[in-house]
Amino acid sequence: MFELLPPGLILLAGALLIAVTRGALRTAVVLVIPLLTLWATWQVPDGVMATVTYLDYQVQLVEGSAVRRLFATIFCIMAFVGGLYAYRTARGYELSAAFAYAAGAVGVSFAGDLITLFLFWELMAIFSTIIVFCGGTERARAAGIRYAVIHLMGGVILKVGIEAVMVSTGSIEIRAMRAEDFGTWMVLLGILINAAAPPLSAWLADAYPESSPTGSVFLSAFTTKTAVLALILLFPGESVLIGVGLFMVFYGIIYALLENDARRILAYSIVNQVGFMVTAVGIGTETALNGASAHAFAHIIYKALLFMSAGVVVYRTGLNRCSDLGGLFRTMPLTCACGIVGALAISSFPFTSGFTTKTLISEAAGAQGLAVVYYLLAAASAGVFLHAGIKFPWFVFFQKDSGLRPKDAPWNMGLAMVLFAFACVFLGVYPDPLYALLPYPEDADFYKPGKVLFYLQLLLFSGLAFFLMLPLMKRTETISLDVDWFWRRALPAVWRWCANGLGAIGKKATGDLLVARERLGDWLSEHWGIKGVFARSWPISTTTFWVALLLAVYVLVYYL
Amino acid sequence: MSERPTASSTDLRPRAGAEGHPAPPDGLKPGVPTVVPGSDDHWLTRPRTIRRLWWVFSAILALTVIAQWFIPIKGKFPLESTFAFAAWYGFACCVAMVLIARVLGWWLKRPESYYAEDDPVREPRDV
Repeated sequence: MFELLPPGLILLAGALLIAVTRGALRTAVVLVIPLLTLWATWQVPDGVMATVTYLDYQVQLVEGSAVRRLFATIFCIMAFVGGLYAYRTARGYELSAAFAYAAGAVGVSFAGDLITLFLFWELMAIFSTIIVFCGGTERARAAGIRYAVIHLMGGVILKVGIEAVMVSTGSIEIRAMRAEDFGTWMVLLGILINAAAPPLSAWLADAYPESSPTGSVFLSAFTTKTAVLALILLFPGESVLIGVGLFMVFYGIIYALLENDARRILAYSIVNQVGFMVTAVGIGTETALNGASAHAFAHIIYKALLFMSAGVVVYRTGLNRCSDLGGLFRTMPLTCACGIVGALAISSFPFTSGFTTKTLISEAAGAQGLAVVYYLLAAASAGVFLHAGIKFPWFVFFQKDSGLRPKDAPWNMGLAMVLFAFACVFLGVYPDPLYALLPYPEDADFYKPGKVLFYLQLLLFSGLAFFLMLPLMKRTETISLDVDWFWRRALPAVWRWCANGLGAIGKKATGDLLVARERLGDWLSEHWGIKGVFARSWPISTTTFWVALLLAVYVLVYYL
Repeated sequence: MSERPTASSTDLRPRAGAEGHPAPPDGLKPGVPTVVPGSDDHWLTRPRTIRRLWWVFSAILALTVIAQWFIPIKGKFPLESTFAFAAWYGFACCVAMVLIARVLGWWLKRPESYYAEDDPVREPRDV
């Protein structure tokens, strides 16, 4: 029964069904399969459930635990609401790829060993690339190829790491480890590439905004969050992650502040938010791991909500750039309101889901006495309100009047946004159902007046800073160089330089060879040609002389 | 008669090629209604409303600081509990981040066509 069937395979079957069905039947598949998978997810008890023998390994397709069910739950919810948002506008193959992508994410959540993890990891890489391609433009095609190259490379690094770990420990079990030898470092690097950690972080902001308005909603949810789950399972308390996470947090803020493309602002803020989770995994205490899990859950909801709201704007106007948008609150009140709820939630404003989850991470840093980390996280919370909490809704829905008067969201997109907006507020007011799903018991209550006041001061004065500094944040029609410059500009330039250099050397060498061959030819024809020395007719006396001389030399050599 | 569009919110796409108005930006889908920017008088955009919003916002800001006299903030670290710490810290951090972004922007910002110059030019097509 379903207890033995990996829930990810149900979604994968759904993806196949979507590909072969049309019309109402496809809609039914899109809406029912994620709920069926959600049900199956909740049938998975703790411990290893389904094993298959592959080569000499016991491959564990399904292993249950609280944190695995938590991630699989939110992936199923995301597939359902994302499907509701997308099913009327997205093409069949995009929906199909999105479900296969979600199946990969659910598969990773329940992977009991490194081989299964790797299999579903690559499934995600393949189908997320297809979603990027579904952007349908030449830019999407190019970005998709870059995306695929980075992810396939990340997969190879992960695979090398997994094999090294298998050789050194003889085990393919997923268990907590430390990055201390070659194998574990490679595993960590492979996972961090998917988490959009430096130095290859630019793939995310490069690819996600090039996808279709519906595609970016799916893309925002799965890849980075499965990486967070993998870190929770494999590297809890790995202190290097604190530094990596804090870097991601501030990198995301600074680049989002520089950005003009509405969806690219949101893409950079994914890196920022995943940075919070990576930092939490680095802290590694029970509260911190609870914080990372809860924040991932809440993050998927509000980030998808933000991408949905931006997606409706792109769908209705065809415009991405903040400098082209503005004043849309007039005709898109629902999209605007839902965007603002998502923006407040990402800023961890009190009474939204971000507040009840991100605060767990800050508390964990405080409890460990990590003062610098604690103050940096507080600064980052202020920065999140600045770049995503206000900047995104302000430049898209308010600022100047762009003159655009597009219609509001179609009903299904509106419903999907309302569902997630409700979830943002519900989990902010009443987080207990989410806390009940966490890996460790959690009875935190952050609604103490002092705590709420602290965050209100922090966030509202960040808002003041935003409006006072508006002239410094005037939108410019520019892009910002990121590390992708190295593979989009520097590497091709080096390649061209090498090719030109080799070409020049080759040319010179060929020239010299030609000259040498000519000279050899001249010399040969001079001596052996029809007028050459050896072609002349000689008098018999000369011949006799030379024969006598050769014989004399021969006799001499013989006796000596 | 001048063909300049009248400032009415019912005008559809008057900016498209209309004299004195910029053409709509690239990417705008055909059929998206546009009006002359600022032609309608929405209450939220009136200077009076904006002035009032500033007053309300300032009052809320002041309240959050004053409230700390009555509601003590118990912090994990000593600095956190000092008066109006979160207010000035949040403000100062945001100013710093905006300035850092500004300075980095001089170095990192490039025209939108920066990468497009190298890309092979092809007709857009459906995948």
